[in-house]
Amino acid sequence: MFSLFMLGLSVAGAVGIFAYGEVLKGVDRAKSAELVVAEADIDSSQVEAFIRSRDRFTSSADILDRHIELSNFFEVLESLTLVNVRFDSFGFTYLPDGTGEITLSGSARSFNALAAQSSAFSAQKEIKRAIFSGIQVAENGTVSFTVEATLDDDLLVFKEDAVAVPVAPAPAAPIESAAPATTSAPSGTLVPPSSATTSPVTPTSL
Amino acid sequence: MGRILPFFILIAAVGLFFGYVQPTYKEEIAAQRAKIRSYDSALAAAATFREKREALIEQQNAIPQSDRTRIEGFLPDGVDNVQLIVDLNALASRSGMRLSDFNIAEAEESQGVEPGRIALDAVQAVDSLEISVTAVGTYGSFRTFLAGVEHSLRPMDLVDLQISDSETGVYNYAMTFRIYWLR
Repeated sequence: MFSLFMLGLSVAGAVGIFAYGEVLKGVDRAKSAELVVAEADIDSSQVEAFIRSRDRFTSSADILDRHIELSNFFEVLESLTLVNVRFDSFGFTYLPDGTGEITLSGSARSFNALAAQSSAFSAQKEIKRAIFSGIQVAENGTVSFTVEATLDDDLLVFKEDAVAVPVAPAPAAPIESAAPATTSAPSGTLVPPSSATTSPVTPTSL
Repeated sequence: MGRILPFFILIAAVGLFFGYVQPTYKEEIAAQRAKIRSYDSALAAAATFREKREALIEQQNAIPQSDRTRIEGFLPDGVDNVQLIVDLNALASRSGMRLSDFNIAEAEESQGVEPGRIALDAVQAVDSLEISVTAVGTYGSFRTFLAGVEHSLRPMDLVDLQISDSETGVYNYAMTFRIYWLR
């Protein structure tokens, strides 16, 4: 009796397993067909377009965040340059670390003017490590020089709602009694904005 | 015989269980269930994809066509440096500058790594090119030109600039601009 019971149990188990297997095969076929339909619904060109859009937006934001706006620096330079100092050459290189390196050569009417110009640069926190070198005195008393400095990226990077970079007050230019050291500005040279630190008498080149 | 038959029946029952029921359950059925689970997972991913796609389409449609055109102009699909040079020249003319000597140099591939360049996630999606140009003009013209370049729809980063003086008030400028496009 026990043997028959065990045999019946085994046969029932075998039938159940077979039936369950068939059911699973049916489910498998149904889901496989569903997946084929889902895959067919995926448009790879559309996906690629989405990816390009994402890349375009993220990259554009990145480019904009690092967009260089050198005009900011020129505005500061115009404000900082003393009336008895002129620049006759300018070099700028944007460095991989996001800062800018500038080299300016020019002349000042006197050592005092040069010292005042140096102080003006030093007071501007966005202009770092301003080093004056190559200082030579000409026969007419003017002092030629070269200045190298590093520009902070705050001074270079484009800002959507740009606020004018605050300009540190430049020291008063030493009073010169002689004729202006700088020659009259050629057409196109900038005239420094009127401020307490600069006089509208002598335009500053560059 | 009457005593042996139950024994054979029991052997047959055990044989049926261990010969068919158990291996079928542990191998075929388990494999089938695993396969179905993977289908379920794939179908769930497909459903997520459909939802995401619908959301993206909705977001994309919310952006005005004019803005989409502008962003494509901001970061175009190709370098199109010739058109850029034409545009630069037109801007220079309007500003009172005269441009000459255009030269092209491709930027280094390590763009994404260096802080001064474009940094993207896993894939470098942006390429860049450096265009150098010389120009002559007054300082005022240069400032006007520079402001135009800095605010142009297509970004151009002035990465190198050399200005040399002249007695006539017309300066010489050597400029290098970096431009970008989507790979």
